[in-house]
Amino acid sequence: MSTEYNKPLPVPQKWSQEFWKGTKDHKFLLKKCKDCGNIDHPPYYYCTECMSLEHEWVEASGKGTIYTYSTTYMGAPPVFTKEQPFTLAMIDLAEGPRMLSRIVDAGPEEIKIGADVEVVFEDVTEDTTLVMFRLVK
Amino acid sequence: MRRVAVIGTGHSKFCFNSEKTQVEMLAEVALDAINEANITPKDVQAVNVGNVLGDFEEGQGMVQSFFANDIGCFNVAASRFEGACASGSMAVRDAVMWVASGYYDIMLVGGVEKATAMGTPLATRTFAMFGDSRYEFPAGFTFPAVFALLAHLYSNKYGIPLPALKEQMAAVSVQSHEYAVKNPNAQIHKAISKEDVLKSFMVSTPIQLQDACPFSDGAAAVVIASEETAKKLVKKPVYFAGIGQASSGKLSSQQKYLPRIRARELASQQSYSMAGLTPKDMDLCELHDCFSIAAMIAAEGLGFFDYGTSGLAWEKGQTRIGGKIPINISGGLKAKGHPIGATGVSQVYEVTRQLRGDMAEQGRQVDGAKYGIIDTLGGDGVLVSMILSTM
Repeated sequence: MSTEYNKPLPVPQKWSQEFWKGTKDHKFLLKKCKDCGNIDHPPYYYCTECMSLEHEWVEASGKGTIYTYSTTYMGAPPVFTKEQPFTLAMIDLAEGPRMLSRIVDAGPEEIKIGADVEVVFEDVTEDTTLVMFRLVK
Repeated sequence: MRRVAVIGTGHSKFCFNSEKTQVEMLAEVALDAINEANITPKDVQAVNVGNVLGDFEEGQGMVQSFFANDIGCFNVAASRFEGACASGSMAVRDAVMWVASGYYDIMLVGGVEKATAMGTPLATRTFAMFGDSRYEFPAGFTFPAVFALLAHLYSNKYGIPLPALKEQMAAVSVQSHEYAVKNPNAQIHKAISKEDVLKSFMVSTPIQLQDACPFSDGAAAVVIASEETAKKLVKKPVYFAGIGQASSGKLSSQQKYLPRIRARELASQQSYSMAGLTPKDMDLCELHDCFSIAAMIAAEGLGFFDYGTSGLAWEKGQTRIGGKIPINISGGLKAKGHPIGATGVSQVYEVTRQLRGDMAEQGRQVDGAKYGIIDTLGGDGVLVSMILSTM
């Protein structure tokens, strides 16, 4: 854990604070609508299916598959330059939502659409833990 | 609502490292537009300007008021529009509504950007501000990466093997460079080959450097007026037949629809519906090719080709003059350049001049064009569509 983390950090909002509290404890929480059962991720203020405000937080399995991806070799803003190449992806979570994240610990040639991935928690500051994914090998 | 027309146009050369300030660039193109409209600055009742990052670029905000004052449009209402790369067309669409409503009779609309003054590191950082900053940017998302994700998705969804898709994407860039050579305002006057594209640096797989538009400086302006006033002032007013605008949230919120961009389809449907026209009626199109894959997605979203087939259309020349729908005969964002706040106004300039028949001397006139459509995308979620007409 470094106190000199200079990359952009997520900004928890009223409706996403629970998610970020969860990641700090290495729990991947999803916001589930109590009325229709829809899961939105990132969390929204309301349910994007039925507009309900009633919700509960459920722990995700952390499993998913790659829906699409790209490996960035150049052109990232300066704070990310040293990490190039790095791979960004849209991931279909086992629970339904499709989320944007990063694939870590994998060479670009190993990454394919449809590949199985699992969650990893990256503690980037004392207060913030980011959710990323790695290939299930 | 009253009918509204373009009656004057101005356009700087798009370039890298302009020596002029944004106020100077805007003033020059605005005076060209005002002269062409046969009016004086005193006749301008209000000014709209598209400008995205002027504050970061020059430490100068509010360029719309300073430039209006500098050219003699004293004390008029001057408004700045920010919708990332669609800012210029948002400024035009808004002005059309004001004139259509009868509130103003003559308005000046400009767009300007001086992105290269920031240097590439700050430019990449500030451009990334137009993606979601809470969830997406912390992972390292940038616009090349966003469109690169869409390219892999496009390949997978429509069953086009990546090598074939890359050749199609290259065909888009090759055509844009070819037409830009004929456009004196274009930033890049250099033809490129498919091989040049495919051997350029990898940016974000599968997008290479020659699949992407450059950072640019430049300005464009148009004067618009009500139909009655337009007919008194100029011989060939070019009318706004339809306008549309729509938006989306962060990229993840669009996940069910990608690689299609829902906001584009809504915005263009508004335009077609208002104009009483269909994609088949269009004689030319200027669309938002910030990346070659973005051009292909746009051409399909605007209704010109079936989903998954526009790359073939580019390869077969259906997007050239004489083809099914001439697209980006200006050189597009790829080679004409993409000074983000100016781009939408530049597209209106291009289509207006094509519809007036002014491009023959540059050897890139779409003969007999009556209707043209422009499409501008801001970030991955602000869409403006406008249809221009000779009658």
